[in-house]
Formats: sequence, structure tokens, C-alpha cells
Amino acid sequence: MPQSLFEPAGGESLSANPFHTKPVGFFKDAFLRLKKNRASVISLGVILLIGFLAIFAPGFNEHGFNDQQPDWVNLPPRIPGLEKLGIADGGRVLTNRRTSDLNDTEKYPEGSVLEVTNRKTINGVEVADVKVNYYMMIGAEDQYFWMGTDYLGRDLFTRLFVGARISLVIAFLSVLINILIGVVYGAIAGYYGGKVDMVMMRIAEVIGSVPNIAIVTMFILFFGTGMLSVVLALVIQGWISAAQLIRAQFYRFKGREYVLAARTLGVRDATLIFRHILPNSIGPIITTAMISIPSAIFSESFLAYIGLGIKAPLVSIGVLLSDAQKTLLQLPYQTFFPAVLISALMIAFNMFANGLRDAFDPARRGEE
Amino acid sequence: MKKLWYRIAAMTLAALMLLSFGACSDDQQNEDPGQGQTQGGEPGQQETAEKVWREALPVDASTLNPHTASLNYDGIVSDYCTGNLYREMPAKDRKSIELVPELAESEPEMQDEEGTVWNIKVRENVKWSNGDPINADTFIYSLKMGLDPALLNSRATMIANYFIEIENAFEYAMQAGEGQEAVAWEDVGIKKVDDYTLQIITTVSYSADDVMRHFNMRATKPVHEGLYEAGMNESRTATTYGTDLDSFVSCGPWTFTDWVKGAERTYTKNPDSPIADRVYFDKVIYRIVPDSGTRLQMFENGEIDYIELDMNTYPKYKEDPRLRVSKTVSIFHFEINRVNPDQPIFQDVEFRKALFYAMDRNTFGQLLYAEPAPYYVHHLAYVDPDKGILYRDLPEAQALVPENGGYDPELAKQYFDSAMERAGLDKIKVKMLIEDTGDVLKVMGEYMQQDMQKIFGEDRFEIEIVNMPDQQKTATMKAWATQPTGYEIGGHLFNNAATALYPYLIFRPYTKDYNTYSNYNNPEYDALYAKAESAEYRLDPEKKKEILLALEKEFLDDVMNLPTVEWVGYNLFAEWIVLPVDDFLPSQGYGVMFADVDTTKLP
Repeated sequence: MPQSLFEPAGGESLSANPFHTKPVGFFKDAFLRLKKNRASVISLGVILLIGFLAIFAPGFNEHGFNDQQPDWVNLPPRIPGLEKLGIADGGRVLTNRRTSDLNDTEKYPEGSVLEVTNRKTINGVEVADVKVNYYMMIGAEDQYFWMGTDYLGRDLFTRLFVGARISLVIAFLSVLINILIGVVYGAIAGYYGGKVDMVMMRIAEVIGSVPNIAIVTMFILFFGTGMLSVVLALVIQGWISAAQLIRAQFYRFKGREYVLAARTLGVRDATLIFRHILPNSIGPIITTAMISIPSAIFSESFLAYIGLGIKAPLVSIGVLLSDAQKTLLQLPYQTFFPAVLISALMIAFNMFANGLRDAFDPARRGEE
Repeated sequence: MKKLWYRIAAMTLAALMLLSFGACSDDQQNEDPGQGQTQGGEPGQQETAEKVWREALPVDASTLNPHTASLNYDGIVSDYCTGNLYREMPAKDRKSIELVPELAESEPEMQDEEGTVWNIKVRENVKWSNGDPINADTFIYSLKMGLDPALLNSRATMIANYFIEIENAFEYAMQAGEGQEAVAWEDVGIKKVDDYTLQIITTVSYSADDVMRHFNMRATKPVHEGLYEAGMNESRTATTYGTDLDSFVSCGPWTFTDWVKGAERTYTKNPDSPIADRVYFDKVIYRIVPDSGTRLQMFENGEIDYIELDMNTYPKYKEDPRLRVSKTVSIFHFEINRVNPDQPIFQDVEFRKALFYAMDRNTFGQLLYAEPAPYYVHHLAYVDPDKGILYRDLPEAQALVPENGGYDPELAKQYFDSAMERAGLDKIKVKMLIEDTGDVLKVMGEYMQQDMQKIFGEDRFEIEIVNMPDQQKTATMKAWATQPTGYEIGGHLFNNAATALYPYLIFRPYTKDYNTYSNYNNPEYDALYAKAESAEYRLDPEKKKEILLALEKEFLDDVMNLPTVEWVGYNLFAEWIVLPVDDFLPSQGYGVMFADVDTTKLP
């Protein structure tokens, strides 16, 4: 066919239609999808708020986390402003108090008795439950402990957020170590495959098959309690799931054309692993890390609860809960605040991790 | 047809409801066995309710074998379900204690003029709960097994030498040790005179009361030969006797009838017991409830009849009319490990004194609702029980007690600086063992951790608190000979009811032959203690006072341990419990075993 029969399509210029929007990369796409997940955004806000409080709240009042005040032990919460509404007013109900003493101003300073209820007679003595302003009763009227004090008169507000700080440090540190070990271990197993993979993964399975609580408890009993022991105890088996995840990712990507091409060009194994294949696993790694953090916080709290936590004078949320559960019926506020904080942390991290998982899911890329 | 189905369905539903109501009412009746159930009769009439003692304990008994039982919780079973030749109980005057023959027929009979040979007649009609007879052979076998050198029972030394020292018994029990000479059983001062008569030969002179007290102890209680032998291993180094109800039989005022391990124990009154007329509970139920908060809730709900309050629960009940406050025979203290090769400074008495004077016992007392104790002999130790003279009330004993609860930060700092300089140390880290089950040591430990740093300097002194389960802590402390680096100071509770009448026993754990926790080793002190055990010093109140003062002075001068607080008992009894005593009695407490139930007050 002669060339003259052909003419260029599209008139004078031949060019592609320009994009009017900026290109959307993998991470930006994930961020956009995460932003649309309201629960994740709120959860992130909660995490940031608790993180902020963990760093700065211990400086909000003059009490150090280990300042012991034997005259002010087990004081109930008292918050300026709120006390006028009858909330956190420093009130405490004293049970079975002799009614004959109610007018004794040495025992009950004027104005300290708020309410007298449940009058009854025990062994011929008339008694009643007396609600008092406990701060006034013990001569600490000018004091305000927002979350009360513990068995050594230490401020529970300061201790709670110092405890949260330590719990978060333990959780982040253990997760970071788990991810590091898991990435290297999983990458080697996945990349080389064959016998290397078989031996490495069987070793991981053997370690993983021992019941977690048993191995962690024995580890801490052997090496003693303390922050480092707790972190290491959380690492013993914690890295295995990260290693399995990374291995699967490597099996998925190591046969792709761009990897084969790079290998053909003589790129070294280490470069292939860490530069060409691993970046594809960043999404799952971040998601796994986020999911691991609440379980690490919970594990630390559990260990502290059974007496295998960090050493005094350090404190964590688990240590606070462990101490408080002994007085749950007498001093419920000592359990209430750490319980609320750990619940908020667990829920927030889990919901945020769910959001991240959806955001990094390649199948949902570009989804509105 | 439809109507018929409706009728059938309605009838079935009604039947089910009736059944479920019936089941509910049965359940409710079964919820609380014994207590509150009356057998017929109108209100106001004489009630015939079963008398039941219900108590909750934090842990179950570990063994029923009297030769190895060491926990207080083991002793509770022993007290109720195993008799002994003699039984100590509150006297009928409600103010004193009396020793009565239980499985023995009468008081021991002195066979010589010195009081070293004693015959004890066993009752001819007493039996184990399975019907097997109890006679002199039962006691001979039990004591022989208790002292057996191959079994090496933890209570062997108590059997050999506690209230009385039985001839060659200690040597017989310890003959397997390095450098010990062989001792034949025939040389031990435990003989059979006839089928129902036992002869005890002691090393020195004792009184009949001493002999009776020795055979009132848990360690000298009888074991059932058949079951003991059945549980013995091939090498005869251990027996499973008393590890469950199948390997145990009772012979006490109550029979152990039901045991759900870790949950509940039930004892039923033994009407054939020689002291059956002195006990009133038809049934005794112990529930195992580890959590103190739950135990308190059970007391408030009327599910148990007694609770001992602790530092967390006492403030709530401090004015309750049911509250009974008592002194106890318990001293909390910290044992000192002197043999740690990494910390030789603990051998320096000035360093130990620095720790002693840096303990703010007044604050411990305030935090724990206990008595500050810069001393080691408790307030219930008698020098002359007949005249009611207590050791701690003596002016000479009070003079030994340092001022301000022994808290003197300046003096402590002087001793500390001096000891550190001598040891060539700039900083020291002290490993403190405490148990994770109780709050007392934790509170003291955490307070000391901060306060002692203030006194000695944060850059020079540090306490590392190691919190571990009680059994692990005990094992670590007792293993000082094989693992000397395990700790430096370890929290411990000294609690021995026998020390009320035999106060010198307080000092026995620091002698070379009897040290388990302590590794104190001082031949001069041992000689001093040996004097205290001799009849000359034991039987004469003046000499007893003299030797106790000397022992306590030596104890405090050499800082053998670090005493902290003397425990105070806060006890709540249900309104319907009628105690056999007006006030707390040393070695008997409130005599709960001999208490009664006022059934008219039952809810």
C-alpha cells in the first residue's frame, strides 16, 4: 500500500492528553483511604492524646511518680471544680462507724461528715455508714490528688501516665525488635527457599509451638523481673509471625520479572532482598506492627499482674492494675483509671491497625 | 387439633417451670451446707441447727504428713483431724490455757528423780477413723519414721529437740550427714514398755508440762503405719503419706471427710474422740479463696464466719464492734546473707548497723497498722507464765530497745560511710527478696528503697527489689549454702506460737545446728543459746530472764537480722460465733477449734 494513502491522526500535533491531577503513589493512596476511615482517625487521635499525656502529664502537677507521703495514703480522687458537682470530691464512705462518735470534732472535723446512712446495731452497738470528706478528715484540705493516692501516698495521676509511658516504650521496643528479627529471618528464608527455608521455618515452628505463657513466665523467672527482661520475654516468640509474613511476601515477589531482570544484571542478593523485594512488604509490616502493639501492652500488663513485671520503683499500667486489684472492693478508683486507660489504648490501636490494613490492601487501591 | 397441641405445649411449659422452681429451691438449700438450717420447730423454740465453722483460706494444705508439713495451712488439718497424746486448749475459766490428755490416758509419769525418764500411757480404746487401733507401737513407729535418717524429714529436728531433748534423737536423725557417727534406733530415748505404754528418755531434766507440750506439737503426731508404708518408695527415702485423702486417716476431734483440692475441705465431728465433749462444731468447712477481696465479700455476705483483716481491709472495719485486736507472736524482718562472696561488706557489723538504723519502723507501723519493732522478742513472750510476767515489760528488756523505733539516719550514715570506706566501695547495690503474695514486705521494701537512698545518697546506695513467689523466695533464701549469691537481704516472717512460753526458741534459728534461712555462725552465741536450753536456765524464771536478755543483746549488737514490725492481729468474727476465751491467748489465739455457735443468732 503506498505511503501517500496514510495521514497522521489528530491533526497537527500528536501528543497524549495531559493529566490534570497530581499522580497518586502507593503511600498517598493508602493515606487518602485511611483518612476516610473515621474510626481510624479517631483512634489515631486517642493514641496521640495518650502519647502526649504519657510524655507531658507527669509534669502537670508537683508530685513525682515515686514521691511517698505516708500521711496521705489511699486518698480518694479530688478534682478542683468537679468536686462542687459531687464528682471526685474526696468523699469516702466509712462503714460501721459508731454513731455516738459522730459529734466528736476531733474525729470528724466540722463539716467533714457528708451523709450518714444504714444505721444498725451490731453486738449491741449502734453503728452507721458515714460518708465523709476524707481530705478534711485527715487535715489535707488544701491538697488535690486528681486520681487519688496509693498505699504509699503516691499520686496516682502521675503514676498512671508514667506507667503508660513505660508500657508504651516496652510495647514499641518489643515490636520494633520483633519486626527487625522477623524481617531479616523471613527475608532470608523466603528469598533462598529450599532447604534453607525448610530448616529455618521448622526452627521457628518449634519455638512457636511452646505455649507462650509458659515460655515467657519461665524466661522471667530465670532472668528476673525488669524492663529488659519483659522486652526480651515479649520477643522470644513475638518475631515468628513477622518472619512468616515476610517469607510469604518474598515467595510472592521473588519470581517477578523485575527481580529476575535485576538478578540477570548481577545485582547482589542483599540488594535484591532489601532494595527490590522488601519495599513491597512495607504495608503488611506496618499493619503487623500496629496490631502487635496492643497485644504487647496487654502481655506486659498481664506479666505485671501476675507479679512478673518491671521492678519497683518503676511503674507500668499492669503494675498499677496488679496493685489495685487487691483493693478493688475498698478503693475501686485505683483500678478504674488504669483500666480505662489500657482499654482505650487497646481499642484505639486495634481500630487504627484495622484502618491501616484496609488502607494498605492492594485490592482496594483506588477505591473511593 | 391445633388446640390440643397448644394444651400439650402449655402443660409441658408448666411442668418445666415447676421442675425448674423445684430445682431452684433445692439449689438454694444446697448453697450453704449446714449454716442456718434448722430442723423443724417454730421460731423462738430451741433450735437444732447444725453447728458449722466456715472459713476461707488463701491456699490449700500441701501435705497432711506431720513429718513434712511446714505451712500454717497444713497445720490446720492437723489440728482438727489428727490427735496427739496431749492437747492444749483454752481452760474453762476463759483466761488461761490447759494441757489435757487426748490420746494419752493421763499425764506423763516421772520414772526417776531427775525428770529425765517419762512413761506415757496411751488410751486403750482409741482408734483411727478406719477402725485400726492406736497403741504404743503407733507412736514408736511414728517417731521413728519422723526421725528416720533416710527420709530426712523437715520436722525431724523438732521431734528430737524442741520442748524436750530426746536422748540421741538428733544424732539418730542426722547420722547420714558428713562426719556423723552411726546411731542405732535402740540407743534413742524412745522405748516401748508395754502395748499401751511409751517411755521417753531425755538428755536433761524436764517438767511434765514440757513433755506434754512436746507431744502436743504437730510434728510428734502419729501416722498410720499401713498407709505410711504403702506410700514409701523403694529406696525408703520418701513417702506419699498424706498427699490425698486416700493416703490419710484421721484420729482427731474431727474426721477429714471430703477434700476437693484447691477448693474445699470438710471435717465432720468425731463423736469417739476423747475430747469430743470439749468441741462443738458438727462440721468444719474450709474454702480455698486466694483473693482477699473475695474472702471479705464472703464474710460480708455471711458465707464465712471469720476473716483476718489486712492493711487494705482494716481501715474499713476499724470501728466495727465485731473487731478483735490482738498482739501476735509474729515479727517481720529481713534476713541478712553474710556469705555472699560478691558482697563481703555484709560481714561488717557496721554495715549491718547502718541498715538497722536506716529503717523507719515508725512509718512502717503507720503504713501497715503494725507495731514498730527494733527488737526481736515479741510482746507475748513470758519469762514467768505463772506470774504473768512478760519479757518485753521488763525494764531491762525495754532498755535494749533503741529510741525512735531504732530509726537514726545520722548514725546510720556514719556507720555506712565507715563500712564503705573500710570495704573500699563507692557504691553498693543491695538485692532484696520479697514475696509477691503479701503486701507487708512490698510496702516496707518500696519505702526503704527510697528512704535509704535519701539517707546514704542516691549515688552511693541502691536497693534492687526482686519480687518472686513465696515458695521461690523461701527456696532462694534457704539455698544460701549452695547458691550464696542469690540475695543480700530477704524478707521473712517469724511466727511461732510456742515462743510465748518458750521464748528462747526465738533465737534457735541463728544457731549453727538449726539455721535454715540464716547463715549466722558464731560459736559464742551457740554456747549462749545452749545455756538457754538447759534445765538450769529454762526452769528458773530469773535465769530465764537473764539468758533472754543476754541473747537479745547479742542479737541486736551483732545485728543478726533486721527486725521491722511486730504484727497486730485484726480479726472479725460473725455475731453468732461464741469464742471460748475472753481475749487472745498466746499459742491458742481465740481458740476457734473450741468455739460454739449461738444458733439463735444465725441469720
